[in-house]
Amino acid sequence: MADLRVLVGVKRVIDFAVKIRVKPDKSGVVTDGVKHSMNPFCEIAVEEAVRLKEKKLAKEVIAVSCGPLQCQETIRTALAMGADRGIHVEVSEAEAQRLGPLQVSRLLSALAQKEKVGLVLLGKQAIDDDCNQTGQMTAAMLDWPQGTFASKLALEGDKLTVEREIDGGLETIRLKLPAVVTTDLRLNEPRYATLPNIMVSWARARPKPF
Amino acid sequence: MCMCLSVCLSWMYMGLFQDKRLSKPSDQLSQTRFTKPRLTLLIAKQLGSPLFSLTSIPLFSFFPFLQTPFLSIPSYPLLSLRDIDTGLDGKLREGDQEVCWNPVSGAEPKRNGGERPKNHISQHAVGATSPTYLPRCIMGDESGVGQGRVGQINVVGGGRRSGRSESREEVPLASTGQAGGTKQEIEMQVSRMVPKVGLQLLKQGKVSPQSYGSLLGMRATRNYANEAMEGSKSFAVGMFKGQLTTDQVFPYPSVLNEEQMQFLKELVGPVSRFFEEVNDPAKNDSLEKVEDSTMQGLKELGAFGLQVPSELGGVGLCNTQYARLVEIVGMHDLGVGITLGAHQSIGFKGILLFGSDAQKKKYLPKLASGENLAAFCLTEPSSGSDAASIRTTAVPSSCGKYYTLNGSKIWISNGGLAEIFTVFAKTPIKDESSGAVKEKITAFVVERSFGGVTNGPGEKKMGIKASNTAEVFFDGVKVPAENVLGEVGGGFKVAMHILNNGRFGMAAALAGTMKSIIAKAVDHAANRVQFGDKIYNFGLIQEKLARMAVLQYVTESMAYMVSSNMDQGSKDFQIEAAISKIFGSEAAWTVTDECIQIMGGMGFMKEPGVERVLRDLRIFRIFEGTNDILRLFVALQGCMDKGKELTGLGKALKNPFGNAGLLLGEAGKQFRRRTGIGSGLSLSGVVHPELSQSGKLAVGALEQFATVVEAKLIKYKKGIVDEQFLLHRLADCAIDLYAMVVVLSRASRSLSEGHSTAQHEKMLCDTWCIEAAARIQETIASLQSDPQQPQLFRNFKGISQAMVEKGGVVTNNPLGF
Repeated sequence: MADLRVLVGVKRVIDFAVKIRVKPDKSGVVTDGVKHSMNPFCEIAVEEAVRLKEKKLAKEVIAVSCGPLQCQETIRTALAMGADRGIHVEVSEAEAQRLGPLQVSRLLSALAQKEKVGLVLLGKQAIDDDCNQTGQMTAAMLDWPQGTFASKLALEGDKLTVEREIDGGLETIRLKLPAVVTTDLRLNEPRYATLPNIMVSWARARPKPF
Repeated sequence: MCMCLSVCLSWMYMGLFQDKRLSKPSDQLSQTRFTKPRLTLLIAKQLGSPLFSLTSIPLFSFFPFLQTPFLSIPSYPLLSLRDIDTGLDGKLREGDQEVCWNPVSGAEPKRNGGERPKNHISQHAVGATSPTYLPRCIMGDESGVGQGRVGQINVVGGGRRSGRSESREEVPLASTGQAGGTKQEIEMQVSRMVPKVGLQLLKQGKVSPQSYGSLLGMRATRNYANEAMEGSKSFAVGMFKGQLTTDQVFPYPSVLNEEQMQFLKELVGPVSRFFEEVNDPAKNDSLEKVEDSTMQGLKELGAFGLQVPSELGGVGLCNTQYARLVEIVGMHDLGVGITLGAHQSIGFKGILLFGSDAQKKKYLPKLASGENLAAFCLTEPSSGSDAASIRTTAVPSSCGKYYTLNGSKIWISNGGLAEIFTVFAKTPIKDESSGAVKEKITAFVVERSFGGVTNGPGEKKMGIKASNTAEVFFDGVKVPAENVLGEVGGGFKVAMHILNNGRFGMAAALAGTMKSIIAKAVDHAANRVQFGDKIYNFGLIQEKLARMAVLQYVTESMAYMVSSNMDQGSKDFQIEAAISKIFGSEAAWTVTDECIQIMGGMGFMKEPGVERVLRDLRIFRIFEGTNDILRLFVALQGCMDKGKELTGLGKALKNPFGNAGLLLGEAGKQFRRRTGIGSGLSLSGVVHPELSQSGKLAVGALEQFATVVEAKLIKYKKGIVDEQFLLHRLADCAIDLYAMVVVLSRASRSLSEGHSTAQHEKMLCDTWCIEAAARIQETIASLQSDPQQPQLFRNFKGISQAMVEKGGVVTNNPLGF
């Protein structure tokens, strides 16, 4: 299914190496001037999508991020890793605070239909809120099959074989596309965005209204 | 960053001696007199006496202070510092300024030149100084003859307009030393002359008494000297002349626009991650090479073409962006840093700076991708600091299509890995006019594939083991003529530019090294318990940590100051670049040494990785110009500019009517400096008010420094090149001084922009300034007036000579056997 389009969700989170500080009024954590980067599980999802494309199993990889303007950085990282296109759902800083899995899954499912994608690849959870819900909810909204916590993924025609990490070990399931898959840690080792690719992503990422 | 322990700075220096050997004073004098105007020395008695007799009214009654013997336009009449190629045309060819000073070359000035023909003098007296400048000069520089520097505080009176008197409260009252009395007589004469000139002007009605009065407070405008130097915006050039040239240093420059900044931010992430997660510095060190997988990763990352334009496959970074990324490399692995630096900071920098379009297109894409590595080949077995003495030759073929290269180069970083070499070799150049053949250095781009290029095994080294260092042999290599880099015979300039352009990167990398080392020291100090307390609570440790932080702050500030100046298009940063290299390499050594001290026995162990950094760092004080040679460079380059000024003033003395404003401005400056009133320089207005105390310290130090530079130039004249004990000390002061200004600038910016660390930076800045000012004061004081200093220098000389004779320590064991 070489004309498969893959939608990858990429979330902008506080970098994993940053020491988190709580705001003095205890209303949340300090985010100003703190290094942010792409959620590591989302990186794995991007990497997997790009590999599908490199194996000529997918035609296009679309990275999507919901949040304030800075999310474009995250999208550019995805582009530098090999995504073809980015969609930024701009949500103001204040509103982004209240953006939860339910809202994001609504957005993603709408985008999935609009973009006519065959596969939605998401991280299993984000390292900031650790919700682990968006993938499942998105599958439900779309009424597509889901394969969560994927540690291996094989695509043949419109059949997707997913090896899942579950408490007792591994479970292999087979899905029919279109489907939603969330990635676990061992699925792959994401590549580094190289400097020339970041440069190219800068040249490409000229935002235009959706 | 080449392993070449040689540096071209030294070329300049050694050139001095070369020319000294060559020059035959009298011949050359006659030869150059008309063809190439040079500013030769001026002889007081010859030109002075008629002028002195012109006026009879003593001006001392108006300006009693002028009578003091220590008000002196220094004894220019005896000044024999000479100007090369900066003569009456006042032009400096681009690129010449680093190498051109050669006060020993050419005519040996005759001290008493009674036999010199009169017409010679008049040749010079009718100088470039046009009388038409005069009114503008006098009227307080409204015309901007002084290159119209905006917002600059320059020379006396801080660039303020005429008619305003100086605010004395600002002027530090610390007394600077008095002029030595040796030249008193002449100084008296000169000082007498100056006011007389002013009086003449008054009589002629060219200036109002008010503006005359303000002359002493105005900015001296010079129309006599080399314009390029005169227009220099370099702070370092200015400080040797007692000028506060703030253009380049205040406010602390920020050259990146929003997009460049954002782009850079996104590059920092992947590079940091690569070095944290993929690169293993300990393994590289023990393998004595960069691991293959790491090397491959670096190539994919794009780290080999950071400054290559994007259309040629590089990342296209400006110097400041480059500095930020090499800082990350420096934080993690200096061995990798050298591999990368030898490749792009010097290896192929020549192609970037001087390459033709064809050369760029041919070589840069593969160099940027890392497919080909590059190396910089200058040092030879018999040619280290004295780089001008290289013996590798490149002989042009009779058809002119190629050169045959023969010779060997040692200690070449990447020598065993590189495919592309920037090679410096001597080529015979025929002088069109005289027909004589001279050997001049030419730079070539040499491919290993040309054949005849071989290399020795990788050297075993103390540090930076991961980088490859090897001897490279060129045996009958046929190099196509189109592979000449720059001009034939212009290799000197090429080498200078490459090295000058690379130094900031070293400072940036070392700022990164210090950052990571400091983190280790802090971690240890914060956790180690002795005597029932965390050791960071002990004063001894606190002082160490604080000093480490200050050194890192200074180096980092310098690195980005220099890179920004370069990005702003400054061509005049070589003193600053040299200072940043000297300072960075020594600061990093001190910081790492102290880190080991804080960590105690733990620091001595391999496991924490600090000993490796110490080993790696040692070479930074040696290569790309030993810090010693660079110190001479800093001092001599600075003195050169000051020397030109003095020469120009001497010239002005010949034609005092045309140069009255200049001379008076100078007189005022002299007076202020010597009497200790201060020259009226101030950093108030550019330095944040909270730092005004440190600003005053810096200005005070600058004045003291400039005074002693001038005094020593007058004392030694061209002979100053041989006064290495002195030059060393002057360079130390210059380094401290530049460092003060750089941190003042950065801390000021942080304070005025309200950075969260502003108050901390204020502490760092004040700490540095207090100590640096004290050091400068001590050095200057002993240079100026300590009678024991010459004794000390003589002792150094005597002791070392005896040691050489004895072949080591001279004394016997106290036991007698």
